Amino acid sequence: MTAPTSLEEYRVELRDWLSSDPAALRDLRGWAELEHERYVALGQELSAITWERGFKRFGWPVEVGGLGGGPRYRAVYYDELCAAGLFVPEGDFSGEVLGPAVIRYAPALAAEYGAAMLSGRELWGQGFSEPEAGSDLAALRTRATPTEGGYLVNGQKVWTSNGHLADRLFTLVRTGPADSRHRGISVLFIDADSPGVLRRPLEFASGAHEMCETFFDDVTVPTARRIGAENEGWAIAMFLLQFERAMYSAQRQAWLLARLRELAAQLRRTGQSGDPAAADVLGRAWLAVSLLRTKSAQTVARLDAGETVGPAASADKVLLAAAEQGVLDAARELLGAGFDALDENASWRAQWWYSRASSIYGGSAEIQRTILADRVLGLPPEQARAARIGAPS
Amino acid sequence: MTVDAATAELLRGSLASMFGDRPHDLATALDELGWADVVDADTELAQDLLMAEHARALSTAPALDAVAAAALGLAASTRFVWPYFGASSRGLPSPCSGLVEVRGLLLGDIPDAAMVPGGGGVFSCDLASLEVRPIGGVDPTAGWHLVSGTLRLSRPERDWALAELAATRGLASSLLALAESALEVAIAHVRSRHQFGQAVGSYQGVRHRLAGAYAALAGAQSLLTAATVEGGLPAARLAKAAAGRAHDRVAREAIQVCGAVGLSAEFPLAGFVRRGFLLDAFFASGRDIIRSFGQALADGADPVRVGKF
Repeated sequence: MTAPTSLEEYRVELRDWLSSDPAALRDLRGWAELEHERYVALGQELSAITWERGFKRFGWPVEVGGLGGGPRYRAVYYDELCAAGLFVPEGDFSGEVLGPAVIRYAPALAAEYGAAMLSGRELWGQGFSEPEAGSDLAALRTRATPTEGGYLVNGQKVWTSNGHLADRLFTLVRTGPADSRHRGISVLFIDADSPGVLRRPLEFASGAHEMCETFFDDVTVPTARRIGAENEGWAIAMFLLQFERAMYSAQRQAWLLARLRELAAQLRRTGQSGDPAAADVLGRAWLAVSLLRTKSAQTVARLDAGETVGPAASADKVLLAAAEQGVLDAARELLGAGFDALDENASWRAQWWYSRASSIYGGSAEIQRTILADRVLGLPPEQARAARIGAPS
Repeated sequence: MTVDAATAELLRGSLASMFGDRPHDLATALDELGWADVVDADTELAQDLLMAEHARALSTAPALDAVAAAALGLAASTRFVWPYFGASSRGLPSPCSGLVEVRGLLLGDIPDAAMVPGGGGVFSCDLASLEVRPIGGVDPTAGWHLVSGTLRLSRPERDWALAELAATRGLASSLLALAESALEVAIAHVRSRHQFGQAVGSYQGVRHRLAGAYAALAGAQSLLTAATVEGGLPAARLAKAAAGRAHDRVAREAIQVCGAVGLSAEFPLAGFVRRGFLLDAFFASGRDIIRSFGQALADGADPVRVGKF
């Protein structure tokens, strides 16, 4: 598929192709049973196939090998993949968040590396959090010292999703004075195999290795690898956050609806599908995901129209966590003791643990509620917080 | 012809003052407003505004009847006997002809005649032979009546499905407006109420409750918008259930942050809470809708995915 086409035509063509059970995708069907690293690799294969086929190119600009069309095409792509029993490639979760920022703020880097990421040949990681900078991201300390032709980077990042598997690290660094907070942050696009980069996978409570911590010890990064201007990092992070709200939610709702269908199928196999109490639990979870779906569709449409997604989109993040936890809590409740006891439910358990992360990553549930209280509901500011820090603009 | 945002706001204001005046005769008041033209221009928007402002005013006028009448192409003064709590929103079970036991609701004052849904259509009925009494329940101020007795039915008219869809959406609009009103009351309260020397709305525990309630409401609003654009009864039903749950969430948080006064019948919160509980229970309760979606999923039928990218 290469010719630009309407969104509806695109949806139908993609759906028809997926439902024709193409031979190229058959080897990808067993994804649910895989350990995390192999699952990530399978996602890269899926991206390679759909990029080659043309479907994955829709929604991305020509500068990165795309066919144009805007974010709504991408949302349809993820929606149809999951509806067809496949999954959202792990590389696309970070790709949707980081891709638009690299395209906007570093066109040369986007031209050089964008297609490789989108086509599954490389994986990007998001180096934001640090041991002492989680919700208070502007407190980050990883230092980039100017040198001739670039920067010398020293410090530590943590909780980078798939960071130990990534080829490039989109890294927030301190370029201003130590106390410059959001005014003194820059973004560097660092090769993960650079001398001085040490990565250690973190074992999640589920046993999976989904994240890593990264140590930077005198890592040399050329100026050409800076994204945006020096000290423009906070603006870039805020730009990127819009895509995290809209696109990540669009990806996750597709995934969650598919998980709910899978849960129902599992209940049918064990003869539990006739229980009205189970129907209540499933129905509530379906509703929670439906709220995320319609809200994220609205936000994606706003992004697509070039509008700025403002503080009200923090509601999307709250709905995301409610949907993630609603679905996985439903699985935990309905699968009973077997949820925790049986090996065959390992994938459900891993997903349950990851659902707990949904109210922590990307601005915790508390941060989102504070943003809504301050900037949407106009409630009086918290006295203690107002006295301690100025709210970043 | 479409109605632009500025016109819609003017219309919202006109409806608010119309309901504020407690119209004795809703059909005439709507006629004076040029209501029929608005319905012609944008039926869904007209119904959304009407039901939202009706709810905000806690009106007892039979607005849902006007919505159903418009959907069926009947005069705005047409009244209906609505399915009783727990009964299907399709109306009387089919087949329904001859002598039929009727148990339904009149939303407002008592007319001489009304239409009764059943068998896919509606029947014209004289109410004189039926027993009519106030329902009481969680919100006696709604002015609803229980209608019961035996009717002789002949042939159904019109297609009730159109009214069922419009009414389902209209109730969702009302529930969202009630939730919004309750949230506004709570916000105003926590801004002005001071304890320990500062506004209670400056405490994180209070702020986060209301922010969470807002997010639930915003989600339900997006679902109703999508359901209206995409059409269909299943989507509208999910939107009604979502609106009911959002209302419930807002009600709980608002009652908590308002403190004891939130429980007082004299404080404006209770009215919005009680009316919402009534509407959630009515015409396919949120609980029944959610269970039916869950059962469809459990049975392997893919429930409607509301929301298009």
